[in-house]
Amino acid sequence: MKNLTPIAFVIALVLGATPALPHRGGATVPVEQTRSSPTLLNAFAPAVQPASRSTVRIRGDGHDIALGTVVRRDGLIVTKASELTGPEIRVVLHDGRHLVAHVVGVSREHDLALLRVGATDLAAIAWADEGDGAVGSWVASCGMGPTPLAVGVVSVARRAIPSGGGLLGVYLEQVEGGLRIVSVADGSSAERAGLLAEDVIVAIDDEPITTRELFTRGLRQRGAGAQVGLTIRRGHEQLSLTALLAARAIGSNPRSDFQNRLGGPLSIRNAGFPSVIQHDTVLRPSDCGGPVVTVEGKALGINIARAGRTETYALPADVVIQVVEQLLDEAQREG
Amino acid sequence: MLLLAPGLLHAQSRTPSSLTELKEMQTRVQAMLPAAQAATVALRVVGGSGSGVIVSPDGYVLTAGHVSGEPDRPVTIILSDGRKLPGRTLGRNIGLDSGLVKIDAEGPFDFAPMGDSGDLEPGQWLVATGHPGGWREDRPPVVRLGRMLRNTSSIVETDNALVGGDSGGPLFDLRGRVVGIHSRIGPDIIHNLHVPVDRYRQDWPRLLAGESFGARARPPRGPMLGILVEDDPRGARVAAVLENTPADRAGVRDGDVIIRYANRAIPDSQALLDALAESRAGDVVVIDLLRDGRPVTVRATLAARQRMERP
Repeated sequence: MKNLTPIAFVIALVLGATPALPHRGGATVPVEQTRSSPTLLNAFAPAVQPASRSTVRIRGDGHDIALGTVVRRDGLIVTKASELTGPEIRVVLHDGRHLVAHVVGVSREHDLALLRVGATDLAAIAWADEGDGAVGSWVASCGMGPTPLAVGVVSVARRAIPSGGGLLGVYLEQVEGGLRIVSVADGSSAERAGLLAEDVIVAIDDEPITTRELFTRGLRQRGAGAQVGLTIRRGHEQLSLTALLAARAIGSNPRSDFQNRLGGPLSIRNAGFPSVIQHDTVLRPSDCGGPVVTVEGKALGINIARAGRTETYALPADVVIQVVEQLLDEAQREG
Repeated sequence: MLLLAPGLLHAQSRTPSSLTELKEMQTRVQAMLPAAQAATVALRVVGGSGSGVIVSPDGYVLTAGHVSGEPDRPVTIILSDGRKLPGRTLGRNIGLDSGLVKIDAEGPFDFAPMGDSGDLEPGQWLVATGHPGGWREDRPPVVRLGRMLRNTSSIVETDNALVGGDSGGPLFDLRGRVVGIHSRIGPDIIHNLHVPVDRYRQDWPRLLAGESFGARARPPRGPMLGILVEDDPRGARVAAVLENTPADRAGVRDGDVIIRYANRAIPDSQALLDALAESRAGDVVVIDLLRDGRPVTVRATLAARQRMERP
């Protein structure tokens, strides 16, 4: 069924707008009266405390790239696969230890990576029951501190988020022998892969790309989460780069993309999930991968994508458990 | 005789401070959601789609003026159970961004009663529903929780996050009464503006009669002053001053009525828009206004415009 474009007009009567904390008669609204109220976050402390001990910081290339969730005492941690970058993944545990992690396996379908660190005394996360977390339930996204990073409510019960195919995040124009990059979108896969404006894409996985149609079809065939090899002409040089394709939300367009980015950055891979719980917590992309708990302190799942101005997705606990089993099986068969 | 503890008087705006209080609030939210979601609809008109809310058993639907558009046009109403019904657009207040639609089908329909937007308290907990990104067959109206940040005669501002497709959708208090209709968003996650439901009640006869009224919605041109305006018998009334803008720095306040701008008489809000369109960023302009009936003069240094969006 065809979805009509949501109406979105440029505002008429607002004579401009700037980063404005709303105020009343000249006074800024006290943070206590907002969703980010410290009192509110403190109220969640007893619920997030156990889960925060199962939360780890994932670092790559010297940056905080994600959070992770301990799923087994003996060193198994899950995180958001598409955020893993750099030659070496490091994990900072709740007790302050820094450990090197190796990737046991990756589920592209769910964007979940299973990591192993050399430790046998970790605190495994306590999962919620499948029926927990009805729409309207409080959810707290755990960091490593005593209070949650942010809180929200369940917005939509679990469902699939379709993907409209792989997304690189470039504006192109056709030139002799390839496609010239006019601009690279902020926070896109293209930016992460090191593509620059003026580069000319001449091939995807060694297949020559001479038209926009070939390029679009190539990305659609590969889909979100796929690694693609790009052959680039930069000045007189020819380069080979690898990009991890992001997911394009169904029905997205430049205006909806613009509106969805008002209010903070989004995860590169933010669509194309077989099963997620949608909540309204405002989270940074680099804070995905950690547990999201109910007011009872049980993990409904792990945050898997900051997907839009109004939405964050969590992979449900049973899906995480099942994927972990599957990745362990696969690793055993191979090893 | 029932004596209320002082805290209970402000129960709607209280911040839960323990797990017990969080659970109590969760129970309240979950109790009002089924009826709130059942009354939330998607609207399809020529050229786009948005959200709305049924407020009467015979099928009157509140929405945003920029969703319903011109009066007496066909519209399809998609109920929360997926039924698609025909309807017509009725009136709209263009400047305020309110609109009314009627379902042309046999009721009774699930509806949510209209509450009082004038009574909203700072920090009051509110629930937003709607169809962000447009209606999806497998997705019921999407629930978001937030709080009342600011309330003027022409906007309610909250931190219930909205995005394109939500336009026209309802904002509820925790008793399940409609207190606002989603209208527009700004650059920050806390910039979510709703039309106060009291204004629908005030304008009801004109909305019902299919009138198109209110200041003309023409995109503002020229530099930025940083206010929302509406018509007033004396000039252009400042419905809201946006923080950290030229108007804010000049000391303009909510409720001021602008009567002269750079030596030009300002009989209505359109005159201010026109005058502003002829100014330039960096200009220092003298603005004469009425504050509580008394004349006040301020000087504002105009800035370059940034964009604000309608969801």
